[in-house]
Amino acid sequence: MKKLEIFFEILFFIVSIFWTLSFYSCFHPLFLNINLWAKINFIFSFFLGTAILLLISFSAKTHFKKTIFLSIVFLIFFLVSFFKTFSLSFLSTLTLSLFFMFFLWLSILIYGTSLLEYKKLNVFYFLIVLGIFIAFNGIFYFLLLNNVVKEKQIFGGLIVSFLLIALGMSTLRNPFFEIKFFLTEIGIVAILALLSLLFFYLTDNFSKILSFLIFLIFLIFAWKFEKVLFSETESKRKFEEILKEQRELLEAKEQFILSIQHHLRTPLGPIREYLNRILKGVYGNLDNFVIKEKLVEVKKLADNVYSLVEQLIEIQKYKTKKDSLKLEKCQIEEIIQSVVEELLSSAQEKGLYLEYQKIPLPSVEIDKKKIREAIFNLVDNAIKYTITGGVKITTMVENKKLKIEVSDTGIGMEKEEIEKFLKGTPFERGIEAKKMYGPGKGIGLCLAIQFVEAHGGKIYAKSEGFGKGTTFWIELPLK
Amino acid sequence: MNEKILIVEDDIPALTLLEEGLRMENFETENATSGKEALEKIEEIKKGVREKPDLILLDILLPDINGIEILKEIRKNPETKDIKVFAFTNFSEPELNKKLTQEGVDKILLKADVSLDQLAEIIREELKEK
Repeated sequence: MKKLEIFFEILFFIVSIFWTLSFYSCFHPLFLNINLWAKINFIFSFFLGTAILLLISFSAKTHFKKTIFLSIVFLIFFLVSFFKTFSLSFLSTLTLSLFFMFFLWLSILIYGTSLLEYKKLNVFYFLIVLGIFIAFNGIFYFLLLNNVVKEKQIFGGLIVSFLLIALGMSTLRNPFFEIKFFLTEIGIVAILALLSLLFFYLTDNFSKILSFLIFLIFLIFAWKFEKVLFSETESKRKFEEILKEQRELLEAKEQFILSIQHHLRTPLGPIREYLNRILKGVYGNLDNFVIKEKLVEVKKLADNVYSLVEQLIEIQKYKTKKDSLKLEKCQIEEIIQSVVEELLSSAQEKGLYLEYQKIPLPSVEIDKKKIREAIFNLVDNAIKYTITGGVKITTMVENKKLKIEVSDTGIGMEKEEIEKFLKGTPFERGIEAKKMYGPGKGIGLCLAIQFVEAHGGKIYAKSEGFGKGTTFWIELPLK
Repeated sequence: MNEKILIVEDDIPALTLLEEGLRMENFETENATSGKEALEKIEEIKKGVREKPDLILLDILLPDINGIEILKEIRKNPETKDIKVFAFTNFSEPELNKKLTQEGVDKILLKADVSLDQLAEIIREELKEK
């Protein structure tokens, strides 16, 4: 690919020289009189055609339909021009079209489907360029027909060719085509052309030398400037490529995790269902009490693993934004009440109190299931990490926000720990918490954070330090 | 006569369990363990070689052919289009659900949400309406 690009660069360079020559030819009396321009124009067309058509053919396979369409437009265009007026501009168009067809066919044979992603963008811009080309040529033919411009009939074709080369070069050289680069390229080519014209028009030698020097200085400047421009675009392109790669990698990772979870969940369904049925006695009586007890344990473990996988999937869904909220109007105090009722027994088993003073609150529009889970996880964690004392839930309305506070007399947390926690990373648990429960899940809080944030709310936490209890609170906006 | 259910499921343990559970609930079952097999059976039903089931329990995430394609095939043919189809899947995504509803699924059930007893009950309800 690299070699081909260099080849195009050289081709465009040659075309540019021919273009400059033929540009002079239409102004300079010497060329006009001996009619040399006709030959130059022909050769020029040959090279221009070759270069442009190769560039298009670069991606002819992947943009097959577009290219075919374009070639038909070309053919119609030059056929019309043939019947309307026969000129050498027609000859150049003819060459162009024939070469276009030829290289289209050739490229399909050679390049196949291999095409760099950014080249597709080039082709798109190239189609725009060709559109401009056809439009301009059309206008000039119209002018010719109406005898507005009679003598300089080749001017139309050439001035458009200038546009074509400038655009072609900028699309080729700046893979991520941007209008500012395009304008810069056009500007540089135009100044160079004007400066060299000056050289031919000035009569005294001193002025000629001076203008030539200016031309040379500008040429050096232009060369340097182009280099800078090119390296800048190149690095930008590389950067974009790296970014894209990274995005793809991230996506692949997420997909991988999702599929792993799916494979974990699939066998868990039948495992739980079979256990259920065994315990229900579908396959016969379970007379042995010990076996029954062990099976209940197994069922509990399977349920735990299942809910862990479920929670992981929930988190992943939120990360990939695949899940949406099912909003409905409801009373938060009812949700809290049901959480308290569910967790009261586990608090009592540990000899802890679980207090909730129910006060009437304004109704809120939330995803009931998700907010319940967030509150449940906070309260559940509070009970888990408290040894003596208990957990207290209070609610209040503050600054158009609903505040649900869960404070415990548990193991407490350090300030740095709290910060780490509230970032919402799964599997993140406090130092003291790890001592108590060993390597645990630690995804409850992560889920709670994601659910609450999806509602435009936030979770905060404060603690006086280890052994001094922790207070978590949820803030939900009231609409 | 017992109602007949065609279960399309590639996961064999899940399939065995489903068949066992539904048979215990007095349903007649037959199965297809791949999308290809499901399409073959639908083709046979179309030709009248195979008896038409009352309901198809369709897993969406199959290794060869997407469940949605199978659903489309069922709905396309006049001979099979009135068969009740339940999507029985592990994934609940709003987009997938929307697509399934568009293609004319009768119910979308999450495997995790329903036990075998519940499934049998839901199927019975659905077939009663018919």
